[in-house]
Amino acid sequence: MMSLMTQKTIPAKQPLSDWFRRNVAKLVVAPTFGLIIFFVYGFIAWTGYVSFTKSKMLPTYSFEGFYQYIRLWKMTPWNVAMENLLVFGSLFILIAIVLGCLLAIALDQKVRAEGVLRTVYLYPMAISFIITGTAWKWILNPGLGIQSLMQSWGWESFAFDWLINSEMAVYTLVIAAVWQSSGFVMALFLAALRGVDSEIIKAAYLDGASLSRIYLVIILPTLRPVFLSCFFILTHMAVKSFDLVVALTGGGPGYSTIMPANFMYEMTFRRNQIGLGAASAMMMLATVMAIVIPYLYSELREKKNG
Amino acid sequence: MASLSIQNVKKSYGAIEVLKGIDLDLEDGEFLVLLGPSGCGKSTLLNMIAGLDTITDGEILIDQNVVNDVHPKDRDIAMVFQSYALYPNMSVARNIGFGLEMRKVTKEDREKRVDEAARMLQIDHLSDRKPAQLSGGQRQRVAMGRALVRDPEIFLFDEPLSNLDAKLRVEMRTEIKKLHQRLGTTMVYVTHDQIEAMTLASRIAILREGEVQQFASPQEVYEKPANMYVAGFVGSPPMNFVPAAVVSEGGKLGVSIERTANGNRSSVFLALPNDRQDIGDWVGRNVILGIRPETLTHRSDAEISLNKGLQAFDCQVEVLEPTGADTLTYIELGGREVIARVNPYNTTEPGETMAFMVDMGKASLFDPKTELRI
Ligand SMILES: Nc1ncnc2c1ncn2[C@@H]1O[C@H](COP(=O)(O)OP(=O)(O)OP(=O)(O)O)[C@@H](O)[C@H]1O
Ligand SMILES: [Mg+2]
Repeated sequence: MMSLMTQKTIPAKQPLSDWFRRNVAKLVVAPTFGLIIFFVYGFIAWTGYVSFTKSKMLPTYSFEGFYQYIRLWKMTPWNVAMENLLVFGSLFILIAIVLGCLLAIALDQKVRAEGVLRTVYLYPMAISFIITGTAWKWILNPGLGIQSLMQSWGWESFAFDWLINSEMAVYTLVIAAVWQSSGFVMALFLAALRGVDSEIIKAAYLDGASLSRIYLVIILPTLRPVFLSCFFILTHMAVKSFDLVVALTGGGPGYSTIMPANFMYEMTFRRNQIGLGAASAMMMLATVMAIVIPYLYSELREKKNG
Repeated sequence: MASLSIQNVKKSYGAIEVLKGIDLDLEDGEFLVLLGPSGCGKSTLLNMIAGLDTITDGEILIDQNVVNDVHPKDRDIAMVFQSYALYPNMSVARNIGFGLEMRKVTKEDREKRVDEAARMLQIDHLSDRKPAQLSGGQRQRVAMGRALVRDPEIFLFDEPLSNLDAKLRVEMRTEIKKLHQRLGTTMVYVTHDQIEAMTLASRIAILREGEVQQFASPQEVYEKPANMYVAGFVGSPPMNFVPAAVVSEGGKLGVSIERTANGNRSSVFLALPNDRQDIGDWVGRNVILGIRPETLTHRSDAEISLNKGLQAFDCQVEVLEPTGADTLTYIELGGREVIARVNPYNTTEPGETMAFMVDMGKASLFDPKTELRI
């Protein structure tokens, strides 16, 4: 009754303000929506197209098929970059999750200085990869950092030269990236652990389970969504990693530590190989898609089922 | 089965003293209900019996053995939690069997016992489900099954029915009672619902701010409450408290109460039964008379001639509240509102005066200062 009356009393003379009121939400979103369509998806499409041309310094638009992709996969640096991504990515993700999870469990035992420790662990996340990389470059530099410190303390034979060893340099990336990200992983896990009903833990105690068993069999399985979130956040960090390499190893020694993103930058902006750069960019996109799409698919299906 | 003895147990969190010296002794096979309002320390005490919380002072004995430093898993105690505390990622069957699994019971034996417990609780058709796929009542049964299957010495229940709807609560209450009768295991049950306490307990301990107010059988708690707090906490509607003066009239001890009848305010003398002559030194002093609503009803001369404790008086009726079986009749005695349970066919309209009788043999007297029973 009320609504009928109010509808009638609205004067029909103000169609514009009426239209505005109904569409205000859409109007607010429209500019960003347009910008995203253009700058994100538009440029993805453009890059995709350019990757099928023989563009060098300037883009050309004659279609050449898979020419750039074939060339790309024949190049040693690209294969090294993909191998590095595999090694770095899997180690980084694995170690960061395990370490972050263990830190969170340790902090969950009602440690007295928890507030301070949490901040200490989380702080590296606030620093940019450039600074992380630079700092670790000094720490790992044989002439400046740990090695020279140990030697100056009298351990003359101590050697820690991974940074300048082309076999081992990629692991220095892992060290720096884990240092930066495991605190963040810890924060995610700690928040989730705090949400676990304390009565469940008490019940498990009474059932006779040890602390490690309680975490392994009861608590961690309930944190599956957190594992997944961490995995995807870290995966995209790994695939995108560019600045850390620039700051820490500069891709060297030689090109032993380059990542796909560094390769793409090098080709596109330094060596006037826009087509090749575009092809490598599309390969990175495909890598991310190959991981994210199955995830989205399973998540959506789960929602529908349950 | 085991006896349980709690001796001067105290618990402090920092400067806050939550339990202030609890003394309780339970015999083998008893059903103890810890009754008290929210925050009085019931769960804390239960956790200490289970070994999930440290004891600040005092001793807890199971079967005459001090268990203060015994690990929870070695106390042979099973507990049902208020939130049920089911393991979310495990099936119903594994939830129930987890305690046996941890105790290295063979798979065969385990399955047999889980099956048995599930059948007893009528959840055997749910074995493969996860807790999230169960209703509240079903989860409650799984939590019970998990305790049951272990066949422990002592069962602990922490408000196990408070998350269920009223009807299911009554059903489960009966089932817990049956369970206790069948198993005969010692049980400790925490609740703030006095009806649950009355129906289940063999003995009730009423807690208030970390202190035991009374530790007795339900009947004794109901009929002879140790103080006004207990009297007001147990029973619904609660006990009426009437300010009265102890007087001696015609050689009999009794109480004098102010009330209005036929438009006049005057005192009425209600004699106490002969076995209450012990309060001789209270003559001339004020007391609080505690009357249960069902002992205060319409006057019936036939009953008065049979029961010497019944005392008649007139009083003006204020309000009527029919409940079906009885009509709650509100009157004013000694300046306090008092509820009487009256047969619906004997009620009088509000504003008019009605004849009542009260069973002074079942009345309680309290010291107005200490609030303790006299
Ligand atoms: N870890 C703790 N630290 C400080 N105080 C606590 C702690 N645990 C409980 N308390 C306090 O102890 C008192 C008793 O708590 P408890 O959980 O035993 O109450 P309860 O009787 O079970 O209440 P409810 O019926 O609401 O469950 C409360 O006042 C509570 O604030
Ligand atoms: Mg409680």
